Amino acid sequence: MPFNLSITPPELELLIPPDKTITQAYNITNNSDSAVTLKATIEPWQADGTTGAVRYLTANEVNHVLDFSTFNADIQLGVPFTIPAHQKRQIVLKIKSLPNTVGDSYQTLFLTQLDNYSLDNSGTGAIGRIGSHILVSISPAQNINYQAQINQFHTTPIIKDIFFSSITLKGLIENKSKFYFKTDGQITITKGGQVFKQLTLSPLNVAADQSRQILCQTDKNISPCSLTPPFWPGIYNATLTLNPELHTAPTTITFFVFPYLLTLLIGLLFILGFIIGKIKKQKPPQHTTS
Amino acid sequence: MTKNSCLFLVIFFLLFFLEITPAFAQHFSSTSYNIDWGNFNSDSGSKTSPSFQLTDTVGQIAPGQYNDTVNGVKLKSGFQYIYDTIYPFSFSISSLAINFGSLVPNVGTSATSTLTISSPSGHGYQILASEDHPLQLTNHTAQIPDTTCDNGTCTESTSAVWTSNSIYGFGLNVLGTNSSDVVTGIGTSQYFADATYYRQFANISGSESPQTIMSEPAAAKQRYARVTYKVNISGSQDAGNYANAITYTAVPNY
Repeated sequence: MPFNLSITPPELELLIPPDKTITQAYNITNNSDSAVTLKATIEPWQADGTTGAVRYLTANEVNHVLDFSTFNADIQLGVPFTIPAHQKRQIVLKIKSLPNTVGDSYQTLFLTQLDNYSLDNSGTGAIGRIGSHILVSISPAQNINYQAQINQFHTTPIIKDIFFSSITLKGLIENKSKFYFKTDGQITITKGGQVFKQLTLSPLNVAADQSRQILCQTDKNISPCSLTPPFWPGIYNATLTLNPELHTAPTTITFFVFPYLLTLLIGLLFILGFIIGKIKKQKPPQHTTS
Repeated sequence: MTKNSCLFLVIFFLLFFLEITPAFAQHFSSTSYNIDWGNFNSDSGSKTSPSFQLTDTVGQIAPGQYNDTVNGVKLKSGFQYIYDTIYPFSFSISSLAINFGSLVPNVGTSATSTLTISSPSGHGYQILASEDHPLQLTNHTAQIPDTTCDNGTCTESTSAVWTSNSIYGFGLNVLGTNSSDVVTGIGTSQYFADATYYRQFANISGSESPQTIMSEPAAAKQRYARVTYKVNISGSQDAGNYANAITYTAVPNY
């Protein structure tokens, strides 16, 4: 394929003090059959919505708290370089926090293709870009006072049948602090005071002053937090508890499992039986004459 | 209603209100084994009691938090953090030159290319697209505008049906597929309902921001998407070769 690129790591997460320099090595692999000419750049972003998407900022929106450069003699930011087919290059990125700065900065290291394409008539040319996020918290103190808030924790539906569809637990974790954190916690389902099931939250990043939808972790998969049928009838409680360092109290909700479909079916059968019985009693006896 | 039937109903509802809970033990299974344990002997994750809460990682060497107090750098190491070593974040585009040939008025012309993305565990991904400008003549004197679709409602962020040959413009449709190019809709159904739904490309020269055309919240390996480019012109469109450049940006979810 003309454009086929890999980058590791896909994300870097840092907590560094002001006026500090760290380095990170990135491995870029050209998986295509032809050489690719790239340009490395750094672009700032902010969270967009509650699902982990990002929006790249314009020059006016940027708060300059980090300086970026490379240690490579032959690869500089903003300067084209070439990776031959099926070869890899390493970029050693230098990240420096400016003095007297505190707070978060979110950036992406982009590799943008610069190759030319050739069109015969009317057409469009495609350009590929791949990015790796850099999340940096700048703080002189290593122990940060995070503050989270659990919002809109609820189940759908509230009254559930014992069979058929799953119960989904949804909620938002709001970050009320100036530094990003992970949604580290769990949902405990209890019934009659006993633990029925525990779901582990997927440790997703919540950017400063943003919210993130909760998702759950099963083995190495991330999926909506859900319970699968069948369920015993009864009253259930679901408690969302976050890591204590996020300084937020657990939130508990209640949902009900009631076999309303089965009850409806039994009720209908009884009514039918009752009606048939009534009809039989009211039927006049048949007399025969000789 | 018989006595036995009433008794059955009473017992049934008593079961509901007494909140009888079945007993569960820990169950492990895979394609090659099943293990049922009566006791919960080991587990990783988060544990709580009235007086403490604990998260831990069980069964690996040297998990934990490491602090470089001299340089003030903090590192967290554990299974829950090592999601990125399975396979790299990668993105590919099958064709860089999308030729429409000679454009015929009132006859929509289409071309396709395939996007492929892999995003390791612990992240999802999003693919954004934008155009440098609408399709235009090389001397910049005329443009083919971006489509607004059949009912005039599609934009760079909202798709709508575009099937009429009397509606002119340039747009895209993106459908998740499998490796055999069979449509699955994975990663794209929230943006394009089916093959008849099109959007404009976000126009950078018009100060529009790149828009997401494909995304998933969780790990994905070798996920494919078919991009269909469609252009339709009126009889009054200036003759010549029209061109622009589309940038596809692939980033992990943060």
